[in-house]
Amino acid sequence: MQALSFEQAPPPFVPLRFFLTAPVFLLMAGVLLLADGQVAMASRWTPTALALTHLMTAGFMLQVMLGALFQLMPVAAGANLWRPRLLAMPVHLLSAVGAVLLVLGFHHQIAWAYQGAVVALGASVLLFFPAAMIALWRTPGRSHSLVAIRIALLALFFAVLAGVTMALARAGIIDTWWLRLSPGHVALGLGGWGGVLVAAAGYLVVPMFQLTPAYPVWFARSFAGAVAVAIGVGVVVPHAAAWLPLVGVIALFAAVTVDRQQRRRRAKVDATYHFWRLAMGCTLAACALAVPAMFQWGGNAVPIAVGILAILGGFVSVIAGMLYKIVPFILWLYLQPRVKGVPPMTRMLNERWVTWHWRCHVALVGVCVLATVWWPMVYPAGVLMIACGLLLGGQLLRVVGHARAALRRVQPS
Amino acid sequence: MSDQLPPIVVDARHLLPPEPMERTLEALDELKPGQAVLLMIPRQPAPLFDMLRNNGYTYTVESQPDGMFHIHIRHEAD
Repeated sequence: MQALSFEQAPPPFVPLRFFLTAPVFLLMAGVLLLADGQVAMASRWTPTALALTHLMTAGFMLQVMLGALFQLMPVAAGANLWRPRLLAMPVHLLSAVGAVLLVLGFHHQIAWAYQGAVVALGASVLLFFPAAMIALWRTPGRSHSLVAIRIALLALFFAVLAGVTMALARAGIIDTWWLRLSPGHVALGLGGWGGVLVAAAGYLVVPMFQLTPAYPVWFARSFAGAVAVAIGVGVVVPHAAAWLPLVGVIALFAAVTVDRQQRRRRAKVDATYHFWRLAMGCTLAACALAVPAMFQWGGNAVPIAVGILAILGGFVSVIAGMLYKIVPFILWLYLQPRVKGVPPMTRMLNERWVTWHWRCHVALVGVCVLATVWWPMVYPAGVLMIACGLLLGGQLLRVVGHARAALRRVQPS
Repeated sequence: MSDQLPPIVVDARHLLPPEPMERTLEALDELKPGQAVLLMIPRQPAPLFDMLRNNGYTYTVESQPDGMFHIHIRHEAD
């Protein structure tokens, strides 16, 4: 197992500002489902479906993944970002505002919102990407996570570049021909950026927090590169079947992770284990359904179901599971040398509410998939999405509250 | 002197972070001169290493054939 170094970790509020913003996007998605969910289930290309998708990807996922990188790069890869506190503020604000503007642009078809999103999201990536790449190239580390993070960042850059181009096409500034970048944008965003970054984090956190054996060396060494090659094949070869290798590689990651979990050394399981298990099951189901979707078999419901399973069932589940471990852990580590009698990490969360979040999330994924064939299910889906946002945000705030109270005890104001 | 007292054993093979560190720090509080703490753990605990270096302890790491690590911790003065 590769070594970690927490001495270079940024102060906890650097990643936390991203993590605490993320649940707000779940709340917005819940409100949108209640207000306009029926339209989203008609086709993946409707304004509401695009808005909901980007609330999850450019909103929830991007916030958590950028925050995780601020923590993961120095700790797992020895790559120290230049002035992380200073860098985090504009990257956080621009990415959050850019995601809201993008969703506004999609839902209301407003040209200035698209343009604003292009400027804000583009600027946040233009700030973060070079700083991260310089840090990654300077580090002497050679871990599998380091290679994976480099590939994930390149995929993020090209996914945003394709997204920005399409947003300009939707705003009427450039030709609509550019909307053909969509399959590449999806593959880069979900496979290259999301999938590879989850793997990079998974190589560390799955063995550590679920007491499983390490990922096989052959797999950790080749997964990120295989995803990059598979995306290249899909982009270059003009045939739907060219995306099959990417689907296969992603399914392999899910299968290897399930295999790791099966071999865990500890019988007792917690919410993180359940969230990861659900995520891998949904990812496998999404990969299976992606085959008929890419050949346009089964109508409009199939690609929507693939998106729900991959994004909500896969990524959002994994992220929730990781946040419940990482947020208390980084705060616990921060408090340990500063405070006598740090509260045990397990007490920083309310396990009962975390379990309720897990139940609501399972129900949410289920009713969202059902809504693809019977649209009235968007109403319970909206309510459950709001409940999930409140439960996740509430628990994260509770952990921060415990940490602040512990710090106040040693630094009375 | 260093071999006179048996080590305080912290078996963290089935514990989730940060319990191994919590138990190790408790054991270090009880450490007598010349005594060591033996931590058995399935990974190299980087945050603990940082803390040990900053608080006057030395440690050695032995990897075991079963994939575990045995970490021997002593006061720097011993």
